[in-house]
Amino acid sequence: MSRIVLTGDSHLGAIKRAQDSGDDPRLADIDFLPLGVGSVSLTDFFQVDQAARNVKVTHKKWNNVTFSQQMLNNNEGLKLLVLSLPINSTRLLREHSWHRHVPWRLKKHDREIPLSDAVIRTIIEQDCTKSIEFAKALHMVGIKVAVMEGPRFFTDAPHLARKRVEVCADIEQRCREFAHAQIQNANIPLIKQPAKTIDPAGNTKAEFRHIAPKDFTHGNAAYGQLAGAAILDVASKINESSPGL
Amino acid sequence: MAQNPYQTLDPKSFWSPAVAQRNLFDIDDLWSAPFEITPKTRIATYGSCFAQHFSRALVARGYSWLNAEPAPRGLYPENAKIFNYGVFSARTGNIYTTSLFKQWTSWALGQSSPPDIAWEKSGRIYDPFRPAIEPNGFSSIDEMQASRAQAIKSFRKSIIKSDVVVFTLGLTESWWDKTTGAEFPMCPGTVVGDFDPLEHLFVNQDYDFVLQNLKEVIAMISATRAKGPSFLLTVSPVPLTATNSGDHVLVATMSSKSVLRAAAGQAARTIEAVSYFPSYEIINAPPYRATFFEPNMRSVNLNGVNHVMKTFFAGLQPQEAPLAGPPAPGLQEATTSFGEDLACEEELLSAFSGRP
Repeated sequence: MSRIVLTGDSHLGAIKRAQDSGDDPRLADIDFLPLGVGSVSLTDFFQVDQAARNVKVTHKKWNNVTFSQQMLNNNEGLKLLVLSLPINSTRLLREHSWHRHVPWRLKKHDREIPLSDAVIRTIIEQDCTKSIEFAKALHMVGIKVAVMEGPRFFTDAPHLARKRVEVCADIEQRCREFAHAQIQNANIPLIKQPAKTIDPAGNTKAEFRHIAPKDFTHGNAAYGQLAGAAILDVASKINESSPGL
Repeated sequence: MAQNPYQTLDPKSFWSPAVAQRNLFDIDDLWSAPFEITPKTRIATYGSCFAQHFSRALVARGYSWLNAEPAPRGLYPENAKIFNYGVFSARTGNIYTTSLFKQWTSWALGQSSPPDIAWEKSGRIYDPFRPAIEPNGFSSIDEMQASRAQAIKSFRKSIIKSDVVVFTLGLTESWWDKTTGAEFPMCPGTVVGDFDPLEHLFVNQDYDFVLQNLKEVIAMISATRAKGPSFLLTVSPVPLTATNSGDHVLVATMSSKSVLRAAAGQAARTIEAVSYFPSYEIINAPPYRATFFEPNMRSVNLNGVNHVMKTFFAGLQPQEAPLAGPPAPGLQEATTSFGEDLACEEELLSAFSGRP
C-alpha cells in the first residue's frame, strides 16, 4: 500500500489530532515525520547531496532526517511527501512592525511609515526562501513532493492587536502570491488551505483555532480534518496523473 | 625678557613631538569635543558616503544615534542596508553639498517643495533626489513620492529632535535643473535619468557659495527651536570618482576638498555651536602615508574608518558608560520570538505525544 508522509513544522499537529480522532479513516494513510519548530527554516538547515540524491536536514534543533526516495519508500511505495513549512504569514505578521510600517498604498495615519513594494517583497523573501529552497531540493532529487499551506491568520490574535486588519490581509496576500508563484514555477503541487476554513474576509475562521487559549497560530483537529482531506485529494490526483512515480 | 607665545604652547602644537617622533597610530589629541556628547545625546548624521561610518560607530558604541526612519523590524541588516535604512538619520541618500543639505532642510521645513520630476529606466521609476535609495527603483511615481515624502518627514523629525547634527561635506561639483532650480545629488544620466545639456547645469561650487549655504542651513535648523542643536562638520576624505571641471581628477579632488575644508573651518570658527572634526586630515595627512586607503587610493579601508572613529570617541569628554548597543546583526533566529518557538514546540510535543 502506498503512503503519504507529512513532514515539517508544528502545523502537522492539527492533522495528527484529526487522525487520532478517527473521524476520517482515510487519514490513517498519512505518516508523520515532524522536523521541529518553524523558526529554524530561517537558517541554512539542510544540505543537498546530488550524487546520492538525498536532502539532509542538518540543523541541530531539528530531526536530522535524510530525505531520499529510497528512504521514503520504506517498502511501501511512497505516494507523496507533503511538506509543511512557514510559507505563510504567521511569522511575518507576528515578528514585523506592521503597526508602524505599512504598505505604501495603505498608509493612513501620520505615524505610519510607508514601505515600498520591493521592501515588503524582500521581507517576504527572507522569511520564505529557505523553506521554498528545501521543497525545490526535495523535488530536484526525485522525491514526489507537495507543499501544504499553513492557516491564514486568526484576527483575534493578540499579536495583531495593534496592527490594522487590512494591513495584515495585504501582507498575507503578498506572502501567498509570492510563495505560490515560487512553488508552482518549480512544478511542485500546492495544497491550499481548505476553503471551508476561510472566512469571507480571507482569514481563518475562529472556530478552527487551536483549543489552547493562548495559541493563535495553529489549527485544531477540525482544521486538521479538512487539511488532511485536502492532502489526500491532491495525493490521489497526483497518483492518477503519474502512477509510475 | 618676555617669553614668545610658542614657548608656552602644549607639545601638540609642535610637529616634532606631536607627529614626527610618533608612530602614526600614536598621533593623538587631534580633536576634543567642544560641546557635550554623551551616550544620551541624540545625534543625527547626514552627508556624503563617509558619513555613514558615524552612524554605524555610534550605534556600535551604544550612543544615541537618531534613526528617524527605521527599517521595519525583522528586515535583515544586510537587506536594510540595500534599501538604505540605517545609513543616515533619514533615507535621504547621500547629501554631498551644503546646498543640497539646505534643499532638504527647506523641504522639511515647508519652505519649498520638491519639483515634480521623476526618472524612468526599464519601466521602473527613480527618485532624482535619491537615485539609489531603492536598488531597482519604484513601481510608480506615486510610490516614489510616498517614499520621498516619508524621507522628508523623517529628515524634519531628525533635525528637530537632535542635540547634535553631524554633517559630512563631500563635493563641490554639483548638478542642477535649470527650470526648477533644484539640485540633484548626481549628474542625470550617470546612474539613471537622461542628461540634457539644455536643462542640466553644472556648478563647481566655490568657497563663498559653500560657506553661504552652510551658514544658511545651520541658521534654518537652529531656528526651529529656542535652543538649536550643535553641529559637527567633517569633510569626506574620499577622492572624487570623476570630475567635470576640466582639471585632472587629482587636482580637482584637492581643489574641491580644500574648498570644503576651508568652508567647514570658517563655519566652525565663526558660528556658535559649530565644530569641525578632522576625519579628512586623519585619512589624508602626509604622516599617514596613505595607509588608510585601499589599493585604488580612493576607498578608505576599515583601519582608516576605525582610526577616525577612535579619534572621535577619544575626543569626547569623560563619559558615563555608554548605553547597551544593539544585538549583533546576522543572528537570524533572533528574528523569531521566544514565545512563538515555545508555542510551536508545545504544539509538536502535545500532538505527537497523544496529549489533547
